[in-house]
Amino acid sequence: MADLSPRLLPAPPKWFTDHVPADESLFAYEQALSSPARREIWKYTSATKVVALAELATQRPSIAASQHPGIDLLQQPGSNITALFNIAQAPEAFATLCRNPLLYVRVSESLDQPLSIRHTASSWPVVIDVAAGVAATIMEEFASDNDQQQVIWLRVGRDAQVTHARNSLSATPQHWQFLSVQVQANGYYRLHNHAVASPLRRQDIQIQLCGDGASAELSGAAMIDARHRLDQQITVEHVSAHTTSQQNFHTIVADRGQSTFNGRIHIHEGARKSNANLSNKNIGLGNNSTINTKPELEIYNDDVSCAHGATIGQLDDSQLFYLCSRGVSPSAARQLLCEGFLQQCVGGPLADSANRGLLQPLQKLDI
Amino acid sequence: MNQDRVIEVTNLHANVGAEDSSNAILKGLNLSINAGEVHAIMGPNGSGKSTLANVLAGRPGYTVTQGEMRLGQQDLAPLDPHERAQAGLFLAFQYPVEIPGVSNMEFLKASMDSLAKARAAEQPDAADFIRQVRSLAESLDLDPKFLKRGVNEGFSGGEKKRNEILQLLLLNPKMAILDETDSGLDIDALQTVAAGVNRFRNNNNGVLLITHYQRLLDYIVPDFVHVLADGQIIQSGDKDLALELEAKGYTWLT
Repeated sequence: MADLSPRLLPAPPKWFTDHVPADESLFAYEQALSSPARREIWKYTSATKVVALAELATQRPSIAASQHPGIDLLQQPGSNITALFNIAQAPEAFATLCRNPLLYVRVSESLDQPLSIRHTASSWPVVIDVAAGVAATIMEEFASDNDQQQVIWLRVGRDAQVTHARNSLSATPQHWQFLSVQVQANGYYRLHNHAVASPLRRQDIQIQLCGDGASAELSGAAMIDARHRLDQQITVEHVSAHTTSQQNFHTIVADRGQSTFNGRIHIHEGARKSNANLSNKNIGLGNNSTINTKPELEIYNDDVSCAHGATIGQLDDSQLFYLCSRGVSPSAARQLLCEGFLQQCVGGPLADSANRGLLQPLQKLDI
Repeated sequence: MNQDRVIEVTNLHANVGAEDSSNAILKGLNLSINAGEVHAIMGPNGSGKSTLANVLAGRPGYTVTQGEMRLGQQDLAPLDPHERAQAGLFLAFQYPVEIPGVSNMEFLKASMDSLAKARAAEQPDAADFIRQVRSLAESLDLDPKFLKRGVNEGFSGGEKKRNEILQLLLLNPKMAILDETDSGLDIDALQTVAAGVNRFRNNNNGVLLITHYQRLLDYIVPDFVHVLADGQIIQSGDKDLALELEAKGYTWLT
């Protein structure tokens, strides 16, 4: 695997500093974090802790692909990319740009090998621009067990298809992950998000379907161990007409673990004939498991089809009895049911290591 | 005691719910099945047929208040459901449960491994096991693809029941209880299921068929037919009793 050496940007690019001076953007984002509008999404995770994570020293993530004729790391991203950054939408992520070099990856040809991103610490902000008509697979993994943050913007061009597998399985005490994806007309984005929790793991995922016929499919499997937390804040914006989104998230929370899931679907006025589905299912394994889930729909067009739902429960007694009636011990049956529950949301190129990582905390539990 | 006795139920009283509940369903039921015998239990709705099946299998939510259940020499009462299965009891469910995310093959392997472990037998070789399961599936007109799908997930009524028979043949218990396995089956599926049960029955095991309809007994000919009413067996006979019930209903007995 060849490591691609980027031609670095030593400081935030001109188009960026022209927009907001670095010092001011820091101020603006701290303001935004404490605004009433953001209170909801920071209800269960301390914004102060995430601000602190954004101040950690950063490193260039390793980006490797065995064949990469279609991959470029450009010195000047071009002014059209400014559309990706909206300070009001993502003040936390915006600020990281002011302090760090930017890694800009342009994918201009379909890749027959996955683009593999390996974070070895807090990373420079990454922008991945996938050109029109290109098919690419992105694999993202986290190698460090130290506190860290990563900010990624991804643009899926017109008619492009991107599969993104992300395994957040490190034992990082405090981890903040921000991901913003813009999907252009008839583009398709598929996310396989697998995560174990840590004392603090926060995932912000913002999807914008901003061209006609754009679609996104997100699935997530998460295992939350005792005294660990996972906070997932997911927004899908249907900006254009004929856009579709499908979301399935399954989470298991051990005794004294805490899950927060906030799934917001926003259908804009121009998004007629759009279709959005969101399902979040949770299983609490102990009397002191905490599960906060809030599926949310905001619709400004009548001609759409939307469904959302969330469940919180325990393992199903009739399923348990069925397995036990075939000789499987209750503890093995519970294990099997937990695995099956997560399995429904595991997929993509990192599925095998995801399974190992998700099941490891489960196997240690006496359930 | 008869050494060939597979199951012996004596004066069984059971409630739905807790012990002090007034929901008594079984009220002094007696039943003995010897190796090599097929018994059928028929009876009106609410007579306690499914309760009997569930109580024998140890389903939570039922309380035995009096009486005895023995599988061979073994008292079933202190055993948990998985221990009863390990001892050789099998219940084919009236409503087989769907378990998305757990593949049928994975489920069957877990069952086989558990039974082998409990009996201190060698666990089946993985390749042999897969071959055996595939061949059983084909013999029951089940597409082998269904082995990769979630347990009973999205199966039709007939596929679910055939899957129960596949498990019966694979796990090869001492005593099989089939709770309304014929319900919801068309004639073809009924014949396939019946052929499976006939293939299972031999001189070393016992079968208890719980059914509403005589039709199943055209294909699986029972040695004994019992009528269950209000928690007790009120009449026993041979296969002709089923024909009589079909013709006259239950009212002449109750």
